[in-house]
Amino acid sequence: MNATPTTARALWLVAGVGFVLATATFALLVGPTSIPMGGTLRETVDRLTPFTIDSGLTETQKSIVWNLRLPRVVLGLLVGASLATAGGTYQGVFRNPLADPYLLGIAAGGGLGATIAFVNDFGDGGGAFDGVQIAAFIGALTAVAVAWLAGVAGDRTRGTATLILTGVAVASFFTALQTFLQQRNTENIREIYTWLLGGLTTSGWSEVMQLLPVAVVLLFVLALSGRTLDVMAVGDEEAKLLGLAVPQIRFGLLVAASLLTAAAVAVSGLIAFVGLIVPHAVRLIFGASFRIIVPLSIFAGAGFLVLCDLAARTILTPAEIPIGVITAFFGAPFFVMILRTTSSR
Amino acid sequence: MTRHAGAAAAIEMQDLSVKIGNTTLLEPTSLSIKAGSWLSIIGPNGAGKSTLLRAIVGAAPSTGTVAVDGTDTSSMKRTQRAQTFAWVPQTPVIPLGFRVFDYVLLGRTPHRHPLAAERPEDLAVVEDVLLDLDLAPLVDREVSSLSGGERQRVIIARALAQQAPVLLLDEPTTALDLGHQQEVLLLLDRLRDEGHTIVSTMHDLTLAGQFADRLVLLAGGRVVADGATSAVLTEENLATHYQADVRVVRNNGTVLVIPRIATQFIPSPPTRNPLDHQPPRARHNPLQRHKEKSPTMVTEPLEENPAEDAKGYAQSIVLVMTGDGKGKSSSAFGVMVRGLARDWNVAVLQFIKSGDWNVGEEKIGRQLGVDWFNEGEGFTWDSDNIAHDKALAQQGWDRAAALIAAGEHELIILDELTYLINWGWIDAGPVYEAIRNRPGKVSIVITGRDAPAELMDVADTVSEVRKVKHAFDKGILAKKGIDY
Repeated sequence: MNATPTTARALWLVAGVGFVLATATFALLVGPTSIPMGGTLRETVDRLTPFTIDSGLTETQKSIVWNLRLPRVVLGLLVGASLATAGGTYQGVFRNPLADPYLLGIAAGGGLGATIAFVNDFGDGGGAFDGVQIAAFIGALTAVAVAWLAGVAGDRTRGTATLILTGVAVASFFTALQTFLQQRNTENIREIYTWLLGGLTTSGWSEVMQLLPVAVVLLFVLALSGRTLDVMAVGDEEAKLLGLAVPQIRFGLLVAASLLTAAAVAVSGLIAFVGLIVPHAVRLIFGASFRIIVPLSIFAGAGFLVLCDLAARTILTPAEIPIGVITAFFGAPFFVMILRTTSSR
Repeated sequence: MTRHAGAAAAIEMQDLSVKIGNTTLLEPTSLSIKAGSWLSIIGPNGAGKSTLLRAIVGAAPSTGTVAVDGTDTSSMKRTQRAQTFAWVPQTPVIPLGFRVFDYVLLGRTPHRHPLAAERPEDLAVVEDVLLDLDLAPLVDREVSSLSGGERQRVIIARALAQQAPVLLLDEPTTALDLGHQQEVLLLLDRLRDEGHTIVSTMHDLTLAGQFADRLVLLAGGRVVADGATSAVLTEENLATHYQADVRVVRNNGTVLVIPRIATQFIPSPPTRNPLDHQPPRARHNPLQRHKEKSPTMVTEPLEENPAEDAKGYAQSIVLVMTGDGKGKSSSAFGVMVRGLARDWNVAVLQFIKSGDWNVGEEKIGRQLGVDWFNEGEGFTWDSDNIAHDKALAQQGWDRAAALIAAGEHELIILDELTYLINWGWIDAGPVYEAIRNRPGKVSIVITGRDAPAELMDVADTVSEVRKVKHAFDKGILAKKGIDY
């Protein structure tokens, strides 16, 4: 007997990297404007690597590749990876298959923050950070913090069920405030609505640069936490008796996953479904150990969201379909298909 | 493989107690558990067995101290504690879809940082444990798809991967069938021999007694008995603390605990509702009126048996087997078997015949839980001291009288009693008196030639076995298994 599961895991991770590179390349090559593929690839290599290559593209084409397509693909990778990984972490921490990154009110809080910003016209101040993004980030974290404080603080003996229910209550409360504000300010309703549906609209590289540092650090940390999530899967009591500091670990993992989600939400709005189904799809295909689910969710989420964004911006060219529509419209049947094929074997 | 970190660990508990709110689940308990021994905690539901186990491992909030090899566990870090105690819960959480390998790898948790990958040595330990417990072929199977016995082995494997010297198991065999119970217990037995200290709670008392070095009986959160199996598993202890009517049978060093099912066969008049004797009409039974509408549904109460009423029990009888033919005692032992089948308490007193006659019924009777007394040392032609025999006879009858009066047996067989009366070794009067005044549930079978008239008088049934011919007359010697 050898350590087969570990070897297999390494192979899957390599496959994951391959999947991400393939989808990203494909998304980069396709767009409303026809640009030579070879030139697009050469331009990308020229920009992203120390190698200097003449792409042969016009300045306009270069600008489209560098300022429009590439940042959008990278943002898609980062947001998809962040939401999927945070979702997998939430599912592990709560031992609940229905958990997603919005479970503790992040979406409602982010929505409220963004709405406040739109209503008060904090938007695009022209600086490095967008007012809506900052407000959404703060709103998202506020909601989680309120849910945590109300649900856990002072009573660590309670299980996660209390925290989940508190999260639901907090989400309803923040949604109520958000809806109230929105209805009082109908002139902003369109932009609010668009934001709530989520999308990977970019203004150059600024969104990418805001999310990148947070995402890289937290994705790395969460990818290492798969084994610990495995331990938590046997329940608080057994996990404690296996030597795990369960309350501290749970807090740390929730902070990491929530920060990651809030950062993604701030730049991309409320993209639904990715955080719920990607980790599940990975679990169904590759096995139930979080040692596999979390790292593979990074790649699967990244690739999945880039593909969805590709569909969102090409199906009705030049109009864009909200990406949340695509993630659900294609993601749901895909998910059901995986569910059917894996459960019947 | 170094299955556990150091030498076997001794556990010392001082005033360990558990209180939740105002409810005391475990009274202050002090126990010392020898390194490399197996202690089983037994007791009725709610006695505090699991609580004690959980208090030792630190899963229940407790006061008092637990020390392992002199180190107070409260001073240990969480990981150090998990390297000392490996816990096998009664109903472990099996995460859906987890494979055997993933699950056993969880046992390495106390040996690594929460963010660290498993090291080659972790994989080596898991591999060793899997091989050792014959789990290698199952390594890729989902734990939830395994049979109960395989699953329990996987859970024990996880505990072994912790490399802790102490194994704590909560009801390790409760959900398993007989074969898998045995398999798991033999595995634990081996682990103890390899140096683990084992503490388990057990429901099955016979198995607990068979495998553990020591039993601790808890009741109401207190240790009420502690010691070797034979000292703890007594009918009295089990009756007192389990409210169980059981028979404890000792056989070749094994203590068997067998529940009595006699209540199914014997009506129990002492608790009979006096209303039962009243006509149905007098009862406040809401169904009764409905019944009256349909005359065919009215049922008359069964005729009460006056004899049953008078004695307060189903009739017991006195049976005398006499005559000069073969088969008097054989019939009595046939009755013994019938009584045992009803789960009666049966006593046999053999007068005259000696223990070294070595007849089969004694061996099998004792195995089946008969209280067996040999009151004689052989027929007179085997004996050279009649005074001694007489004394034995009197002593034997005194015991018989006491057993009859005690009323704890449903059946008492007095084998060859007639000789004692006929030879004048005991006074006949007290014999008849004891039989007449026997408690209601005690049936008596008496065997022996030439039953005196008064004995036949007190008997309910008298049968005579008449000799038509006997093999001995033709010079054929006794055939073992048929004769004595």
